[in-house]
Amino acid sequence: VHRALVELAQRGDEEAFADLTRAVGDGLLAIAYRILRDVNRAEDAVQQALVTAWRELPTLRDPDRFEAWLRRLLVHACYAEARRQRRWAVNVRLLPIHESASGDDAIATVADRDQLERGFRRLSPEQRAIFVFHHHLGLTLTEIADELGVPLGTVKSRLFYATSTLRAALDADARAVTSPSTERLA
Amino acid sequence: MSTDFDFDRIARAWLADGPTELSGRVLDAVADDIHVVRQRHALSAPRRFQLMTTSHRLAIAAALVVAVGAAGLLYLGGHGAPAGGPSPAPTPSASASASAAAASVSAAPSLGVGVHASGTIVFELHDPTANANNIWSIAPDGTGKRELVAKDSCCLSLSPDGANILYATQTGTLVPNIADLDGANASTYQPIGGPTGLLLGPSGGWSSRLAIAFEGWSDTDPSKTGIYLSVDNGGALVWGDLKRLTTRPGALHDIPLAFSHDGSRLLFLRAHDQGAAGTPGPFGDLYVIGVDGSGLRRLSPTSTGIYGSDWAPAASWSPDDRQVAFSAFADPNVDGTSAVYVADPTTGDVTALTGSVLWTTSARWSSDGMWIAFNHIGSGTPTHHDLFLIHPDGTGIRTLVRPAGVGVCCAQWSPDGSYLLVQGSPSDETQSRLYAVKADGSGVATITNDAGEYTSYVWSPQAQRTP
Repeated sequence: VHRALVELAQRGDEEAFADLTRAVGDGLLAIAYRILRDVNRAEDAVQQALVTAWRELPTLRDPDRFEAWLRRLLVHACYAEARRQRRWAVNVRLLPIHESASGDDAIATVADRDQLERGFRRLSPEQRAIFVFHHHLGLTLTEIADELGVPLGTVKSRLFYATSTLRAALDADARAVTSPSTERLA
Repeated sequence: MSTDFDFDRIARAWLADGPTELSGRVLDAVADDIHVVRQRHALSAPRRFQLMTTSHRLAIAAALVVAVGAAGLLYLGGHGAPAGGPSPAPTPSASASASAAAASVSAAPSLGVGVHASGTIVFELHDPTANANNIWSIAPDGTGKRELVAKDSCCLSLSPDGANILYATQTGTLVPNIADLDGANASTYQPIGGPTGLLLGPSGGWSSRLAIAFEGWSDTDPSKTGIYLSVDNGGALVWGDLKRLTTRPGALHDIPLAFSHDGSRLLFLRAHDQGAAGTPGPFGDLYVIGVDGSGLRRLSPTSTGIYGSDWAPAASWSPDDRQVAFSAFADPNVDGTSAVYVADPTTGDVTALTGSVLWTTSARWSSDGMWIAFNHIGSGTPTHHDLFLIHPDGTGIRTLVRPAGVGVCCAQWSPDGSYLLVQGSPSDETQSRLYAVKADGSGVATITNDAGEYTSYVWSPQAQRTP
């Protein structure tokens, strides 16, 4: 369905690209939000990825790979957005906790979600992306390596670290920080 | 312990939550953006060209050569040779241009007017079109703006004499660089010693002993995480051998913040997290350590933490290196409750200079030792960030500037201490400009009118070179 639109957009058809963005926008937001855990930042990343896609679209050789290619651009936009975490003009915003529509809600308790949010904050954007691609999109590690253009070993190590960190967050609050014994505080 | 089955189900259920629909605002913005963004030419030949015969291609190629040559002659004839002119200014978005006009009225009416200070201001400005932070310089009077580094950059700092800049480019991977103040003679750091596969962010800047502090880590080997020092071994401004200062296995980093003026000690952030959305950066404890690895001590009080960011340095040294000023937040930080503190880096004794207020950032000690500049959200509706000065003994607090909009933030002192360089915005932080605020509160001048995100800025005592 998208191939014809992609080919039109590659030739500079703005209407065709607008149709594409409407078709894929919701899915991109879902991925970006799960990596960044912030709706505003996720929207910024999606916007950046779509503009980059428009600019680079003529270089896409296989129109059938459009969505995978776009997800890769989105992940890089999320990396940039995550590294530009800067908010001096607002108060710190509480992390959102949404009501789940899934039947698994009874399993993922509010406490679990809070611990997962805390654990997720400790992951690098690269580790977050691998975790989301695997657990949310359901891609295999090989598919993730291909889609993101990173070695399979790197995907494995990032997923291992992400999973270990989140498991630790669920099992206990792993945030115990040892203070130097020499410390003296007023 | 959670079983694998439980973990997968819990993780999937947690990931299932989230927004389901991209807002029309974003779709409209994309439509507006692509209208002005030109598409890149395909690297491969388009299909219709591939169907041409070889003679057709040769004929078209010859015509292109002739056309390009003719255009070049016309250009040189009309304009002269384009030799070494200033780089073009960044192109703000349409909305940014509109906001720039508003800022020039609401904040400070004239570019650089009334700024009687020497030196050069160097800043990182986010280019939304390229999604990159490029480095620029400008004179304090708002003239002579030029682009120094046209690559995505971070971690900008100055050499001790202000004649060189230190930064890292982020094209593909992180690469530290040193360049002259005008961007010339850039050289890339190749680590001498140290583990392989190490990524190095020069966030700790330069010491008077010509050492450079790096935030180091590896994407594939968490055991390499820690602070590394490039120690000068020649007595000149050159890259030196790399040695490890701290060890912090895992994904949570030690992030160097500032050397003492004598170069013997380093402040750093021992992060608790990677930086949550809506915060300035990673959150954690403030520590001090000797550059020889001795004297590790935590300075931020129990149940508080600081944020690490290039643009809002949370901690700074007094001119005599006997004290450290920092802004710290309650931990966990849920509402921005925070205060300014002064600590003795030798004993660890800490004193709160202010009561608990909201969203305190950027504690910066003046070069004469008389004042500490900081920000917090002032009273009133809507809330905005005000710039304050306070004596190191906690007396004499005063508001320096209360501009319109969301306010100002993240002050850096000018080399002579007569001005404070701040970023501020009439709308939101993505539409900021740089302003120079007189330290006696008598005026504000606009330094830049390019609306955007200023991710870092420094004020060198050295004058700009004439291009």
